[in-house]
Amino acid sequence: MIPDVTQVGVEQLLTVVQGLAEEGCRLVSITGVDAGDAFELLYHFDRELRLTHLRVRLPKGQELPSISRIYFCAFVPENELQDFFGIRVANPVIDYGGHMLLARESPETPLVKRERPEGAER
Amino acid sequence: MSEVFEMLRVLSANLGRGPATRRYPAEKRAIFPSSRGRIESVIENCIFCGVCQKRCPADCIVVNKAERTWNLDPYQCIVCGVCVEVCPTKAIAMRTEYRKPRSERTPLTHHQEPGPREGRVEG
Amino acid sequence: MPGQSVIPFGPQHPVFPEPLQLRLVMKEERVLEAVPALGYMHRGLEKLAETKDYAQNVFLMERVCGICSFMHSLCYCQALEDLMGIEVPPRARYLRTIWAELGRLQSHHLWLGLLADAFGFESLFMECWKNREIVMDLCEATTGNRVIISGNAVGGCRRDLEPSVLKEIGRRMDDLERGLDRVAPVFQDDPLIKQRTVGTGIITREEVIRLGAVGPVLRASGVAQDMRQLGYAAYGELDFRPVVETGGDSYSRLMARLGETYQAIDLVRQALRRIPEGEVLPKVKGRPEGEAVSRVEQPRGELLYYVRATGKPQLDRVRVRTPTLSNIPPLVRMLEGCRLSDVPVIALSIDSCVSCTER
Repeated sequence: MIPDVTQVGVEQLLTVVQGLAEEGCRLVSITGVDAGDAFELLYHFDRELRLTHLRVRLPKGQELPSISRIYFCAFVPENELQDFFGIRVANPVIDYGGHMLLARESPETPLVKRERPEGAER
Repeated sequence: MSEVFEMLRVLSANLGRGPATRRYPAEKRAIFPSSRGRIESVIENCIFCGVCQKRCPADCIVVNKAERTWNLDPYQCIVCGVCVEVCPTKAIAMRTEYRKPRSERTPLTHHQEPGPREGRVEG
Repeated sequence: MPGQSVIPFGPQHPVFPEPLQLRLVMKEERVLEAVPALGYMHRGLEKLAETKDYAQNVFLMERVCGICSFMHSLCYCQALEDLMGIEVPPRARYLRTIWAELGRLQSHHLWLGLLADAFGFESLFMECWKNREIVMDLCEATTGNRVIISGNAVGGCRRDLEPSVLKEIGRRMDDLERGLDRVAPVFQDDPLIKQRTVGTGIITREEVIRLGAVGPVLRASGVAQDMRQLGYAAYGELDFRPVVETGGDSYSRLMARLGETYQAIDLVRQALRRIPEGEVLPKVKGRPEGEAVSRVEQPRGELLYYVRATGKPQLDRVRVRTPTLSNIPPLVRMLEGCRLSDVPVIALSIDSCVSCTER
């Protein structure tokens, strides 16, 4: 249902993103989803009103390379990933250390799916 | 020079027109017939099916079939009108006037008497 | 560093209707660097969206933002309609267009007023907000609420409008245009406004794409990109061309929004002329499964929703990327090198909406 998705390994991410930047694509956002044993990250890019996506599968606990040296604006969604999923991002241009949107006393990593007993109310 | 004429024109127009605002408590705007003011229960019609409770996005309705009560927390209600749309027996109505302010935050409980269908309101 | 000082701009500041902090690293009167500090308004709505079913979420998504509320529900509904393969009836698509443009009108009027207020131009501020009241009354008359209008449902619209109401909207658009004609020349030509906006906060065409700017910020730097060109709702059937300015400064952003305000009146009129008859809300069956992305043009720019579902009534993930989130990095760049006295107007010129940014 999402058009134009390319699966990319974590290690090739920076090279591929560099290529998209040179083509003049605009970074729209980065979406994170907790997919059980790994995080699925979807990088949305816009090329003349057409969306193009990179999908990255990041095993839990692994560090994510920051694309904020290529796209300065990536520091916002990367910090969101740190806040909501506890993903460690390697040295973004501005690092809020997991507290960009969340306060010190907020629940930690709220969007990580936690084990629920069978049949319990969500 | 033209600025002076423009100023005089605006000034005289404003003197003739009067204020753009309403003198509120004395003068009130008519309520629109489609305004979503508040939710009200028509408890006589209620069959306690609980559809409103299930579909309410704000979780502000509690229906108790055993005790024949219909509870609304008006402070949690977002007056979206979904319950009015889904009610199969028209037991919930949308009114155009807002609810009056109250000093205590208590839910509204409507109780349906068994037998002769007569409703009363508590709380 | 010697000679440097840090000034916290906000979170409470007269030009910000909502709390946002900019830490300004200053060298005398010049800003060297601006670091945004967010998080004063985070409400955890993306988490809450995972607990409600997809139909209830429409009302939740409307509450992401208090100004562009209709666009949020529209974008969310479009994502769900894509997932579930629902064809939206043509009349509902036109009604959505009308409400979306009414939303844009009230949002831009609000911003024009706030900008006038930031200069201390009180009478202009009140004139803008007086005009805005026309739109607010229309919203209430057509949907029952002024701001959170709840016009959308997955599949179509919750209300249909009578022909007499549609005619009334058209009549009020004439009043609104007359009101706008009175304030527009002031924004365009007033020397004081020009002094504060022309040449301040410049951002170039190349930077604006690299920094991911959206909406009027993008278009004021000469990029003709507007999500309405995608033709969602009824925009594909209306005569629409994005409003583009080329200066890249605060004045261009002001002109882009002023142009869009006139354009919104025109789009409402076009939609009123062409609205077809028919149903507005088809029966929706089934449960969402899969993932979808939807984009709409909000008053502040491109809004993106990502929805992922696994066949349960509840959704697995709802991701909201609001335009202000994308416009903060360009703001940081605009502020570098400007004078402290220009910071309020430049910060206002991106039309930040903090509550939706932090969700």
